Amino acid sequence: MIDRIFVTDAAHDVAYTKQILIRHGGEWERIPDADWYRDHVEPDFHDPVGAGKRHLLLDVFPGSFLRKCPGTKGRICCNYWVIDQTTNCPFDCSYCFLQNYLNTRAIRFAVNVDDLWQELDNRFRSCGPIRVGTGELSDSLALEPLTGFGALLVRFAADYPNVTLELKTKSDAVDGLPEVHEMDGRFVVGWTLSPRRIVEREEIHTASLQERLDAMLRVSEKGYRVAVHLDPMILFPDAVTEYVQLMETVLEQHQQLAWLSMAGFRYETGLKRVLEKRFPDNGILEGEFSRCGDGKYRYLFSERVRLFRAVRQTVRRRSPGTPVYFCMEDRATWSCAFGSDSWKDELLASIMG
Amino acid sequence: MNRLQVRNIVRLKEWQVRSGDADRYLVQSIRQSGILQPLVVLKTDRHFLVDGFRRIALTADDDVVPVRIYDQAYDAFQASLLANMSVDPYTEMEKARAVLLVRDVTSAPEHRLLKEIMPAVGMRGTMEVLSRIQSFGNLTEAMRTLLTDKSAPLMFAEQVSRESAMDQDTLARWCVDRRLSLSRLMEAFDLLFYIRKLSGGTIDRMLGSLPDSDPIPALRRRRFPQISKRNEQVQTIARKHGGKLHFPPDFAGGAPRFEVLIQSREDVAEAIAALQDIQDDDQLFTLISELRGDD
Repeated sequence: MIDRIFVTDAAHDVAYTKQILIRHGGEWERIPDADWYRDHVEPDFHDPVGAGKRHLLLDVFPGSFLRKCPGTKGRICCNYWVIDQTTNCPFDCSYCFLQNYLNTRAIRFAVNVDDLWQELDNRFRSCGPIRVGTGELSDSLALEPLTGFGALLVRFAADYPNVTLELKTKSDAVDGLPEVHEMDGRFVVGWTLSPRRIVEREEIHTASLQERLDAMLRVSEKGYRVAVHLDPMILFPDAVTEYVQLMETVLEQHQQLAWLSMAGFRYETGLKRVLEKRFPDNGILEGEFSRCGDGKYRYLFSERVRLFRAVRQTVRRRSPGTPVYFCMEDRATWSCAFGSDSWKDELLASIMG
Repeated sequence: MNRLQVRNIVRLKEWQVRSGDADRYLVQSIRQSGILQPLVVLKTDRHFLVDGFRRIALTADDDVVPVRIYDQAYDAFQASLLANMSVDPYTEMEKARAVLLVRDVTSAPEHRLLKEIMPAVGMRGTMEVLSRIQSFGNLTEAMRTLLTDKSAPLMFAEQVSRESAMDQDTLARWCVDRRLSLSRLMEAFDLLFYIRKLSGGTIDRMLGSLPDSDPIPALRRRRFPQISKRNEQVQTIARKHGGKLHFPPDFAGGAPRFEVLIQSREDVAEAIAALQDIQDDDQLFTLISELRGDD
């Protein structure tokens, strides 16, 4: 997965860097800083996005790691905080917005975890219940065998009883995570799932659907709750049937999920161009899209709502205690799919804040 | 500063980056004062013009013009690029053409293109951009001319370059015949791409089946049949109610807004009557149900 590791000057003497390099066991390259990577490495590749996914850049991040998930104007947001310790991801999903979003194409990994712990400690001690996760600009566990960061974060967060931590992933790299029994269900591993045909065609280098399902079971046995993110949901003939079947399969194995979030596929113009160029055989742009109020293109409203409703009905029937919510949808979608003021449902209280 | 008689300067058409004639300001200036900015010339066995094609076209064979003479092709072309970019920057298509010209005429190695030539024309010296430039070379003459004339973005040229030569020529001819603007060409191309992907068929046949009037709505209907049907339904209903109903652009929520301008009591009475009509319109409520995804 990673075929080159770069270490910036600032990261060179950090203990965590050394641990990662020992685990890697191979060659690595010292560079002045991330700008150097952009100016001297990226230009050499016809596909810097693809190349960057095989490059790990160990760096010191000087800024703030923790922020509220920004959401989108006009959309209803859950009360989620994100930790930006890693940006970018070795997986290559055709629909991923990161292709058109990040300035540095390598996977940037902050090794100054002491700064991270300090910042999190300051925040966690001064707030009430907080739901926080990694995996917004990266995959939380894709590099776990190399970095062990997920395990470190879980062990750190164990000392804060007000914190619910989620690790979001498309991998199956859960075996290095510590057991978390007796932690009141505060630790969640969330999987992004899609029907098999989407995983195989559009989610390159990720764990297969079956591998993810197996990993969900293994992590449950360690005391983690399991969450599912259907994001993005792709429309195709029989999509409703396949998404429903997917959730039936998941709920056969897990009586209750920590939560289920849903979001339809959406894109901006820039992403479309990148996607068409890098994945000329993709099937996801074949649907019918219209431009929405936030400038993004989405499927026809009625089609999205039918899909969302079908999945929610399945989950309600099989697992009435599982909170179901949307990521980045507006009131109209919530109302039509789930009912008026559905975002105020008691079941969602801990999620929506 | 050297000077040469125009008749002694060889002009190779394929070395000309910019197409078209000089603008009227340049014409006026040259008529009044002659050529002031030296032409760039490469001296081998003869003197070859590298920069100044449009200016030299305004002179006579007997005219004597100022020139800067280079004996290395790379230096001559590099000087030409820098001179042009400082006076009248190239469009993206012209930049691509210029870079390829330097590559082909001077056999400059890749690293010099990346580090010197591409920055000279204001492009990032990366392999990704160079690939895009090289795709320019995959355009047919007709398409290259069309996109250059329209100052098309290089990214679009790259997309088009993936089409077969035959399809490119068909598209170019069609665009010229229909006098399409760049934005409409780009939209048409995007629509055609997906229509072909979804239903097969050739570009030629698809274009041949379009109406003589504006082709874009017809292409949109084929590419987005569901959305188009919804649009037509919504427009029919909206017209029926005198433009007082406004649906959200993406049909989000399915619900239209009722809007009237109240300037008098009569307006209120009219609004009440209009609402009564709306209340009685079964077709409207069926449509709202469908827009909301209610089965």
